[in-house]
Amino acid sequence: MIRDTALDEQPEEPEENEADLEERQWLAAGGQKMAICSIIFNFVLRSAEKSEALTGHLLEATSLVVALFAVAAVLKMCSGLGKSQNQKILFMVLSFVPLINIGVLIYLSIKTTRLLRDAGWTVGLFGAKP
Amino acid sequence: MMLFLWLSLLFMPVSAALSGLGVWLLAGGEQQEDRELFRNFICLLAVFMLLYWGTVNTDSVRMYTDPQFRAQTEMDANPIYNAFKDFSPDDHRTLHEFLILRMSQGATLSEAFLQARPLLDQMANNRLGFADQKSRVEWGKVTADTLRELQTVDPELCYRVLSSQPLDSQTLARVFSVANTEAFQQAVAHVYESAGRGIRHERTPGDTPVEFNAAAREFHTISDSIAKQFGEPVAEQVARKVFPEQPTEPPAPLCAARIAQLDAMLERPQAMAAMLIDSALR
Repeated sequence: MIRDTALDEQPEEPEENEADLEERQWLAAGGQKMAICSIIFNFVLRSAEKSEALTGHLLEATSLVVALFAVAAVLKMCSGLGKSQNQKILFMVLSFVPLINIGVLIYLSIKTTRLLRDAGWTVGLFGAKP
Repeated sequence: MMLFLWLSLLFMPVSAALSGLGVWLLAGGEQQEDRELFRNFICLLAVFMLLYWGTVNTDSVRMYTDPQFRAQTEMDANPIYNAFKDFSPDDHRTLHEFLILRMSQGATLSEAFLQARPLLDQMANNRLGFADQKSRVEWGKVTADTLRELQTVDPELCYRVLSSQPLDSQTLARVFSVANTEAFQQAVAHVYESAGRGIRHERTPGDTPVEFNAAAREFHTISDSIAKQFGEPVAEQVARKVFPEQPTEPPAPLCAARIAQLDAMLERPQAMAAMLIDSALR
């Protein structure tokens, strides 16, 4: 009787975890795509700066938008990877430190790739698909 | 400059770090949704960016962090620089370029002004014709006092200034007293200010016309007295106004004669003195 009850309750929990895990994987994959876009935006922005296509306040405003986009990507990947709130805040702050921000994006992207590959996703140059 | 660059580089990291701290304190250990976390972070980031930008760009902070701003502020506070800026854009540009060059070579603003003294001297002499009588007399007095100071130190140095030969920066820094430097700067500023008004045909109250022939007679009287005191050749040289690089007579009597000439001119009433000084120095 006790065994039966235990067997009845058991399937409920993994199902809930699996849904949660799948949601986290989608979140991490979305964050990774945003991170890749943010790295590309950064390269484009630096080229525009060097060629003086963008200057002054317009350049600063665009840089800020790209930085905020990168922060959103970091936040999504952190949530997907199950990072704690304090870690999320730390990574958000580090996203505004020159050079370290690229390191943060690469580190989180590698972690995300591992997570998604382990879950059977296909991860390519421009992001992952299930 | 380095500090200003560092403050610019640290703008985003410091603002982000303060926002991160703010978000952490606001959360108080409670779990927040990503959306809420992001929104709080962005709001605080905007606040701290504005605060940082506002603080770093205040004049009092920039005086410490931005040498270019400090130099410009100090230059703007200088009476000569202001007079040049207001009354002669061309001379102002020349002076500005000279000062910036000297300061880029490591001189302070006061040292740069000291090194600009021969240039200022020449520019003020060129403007003397437009200046009012009071400023001309002031300029004549400063010139006489300067020559007297140099004569005491070294008559050859005095002759070099008399013949418009350049002095090296070390000598310029050594030979002039603080009081003389201040009087010189004030006199240059006054000459430029009054010359600016003179060019715009604004008459200075108190200026009285002087008959040319009367002035010529006074000039000859002074020349005769110089000739009696220092001899004919020295008096002739002093009357000629332009002094050759190599002195035709010993520098000491030439310099003394020039000082005596200017002093004699300054003893006359203001209107006459102004005309005589203008004719002697310009």
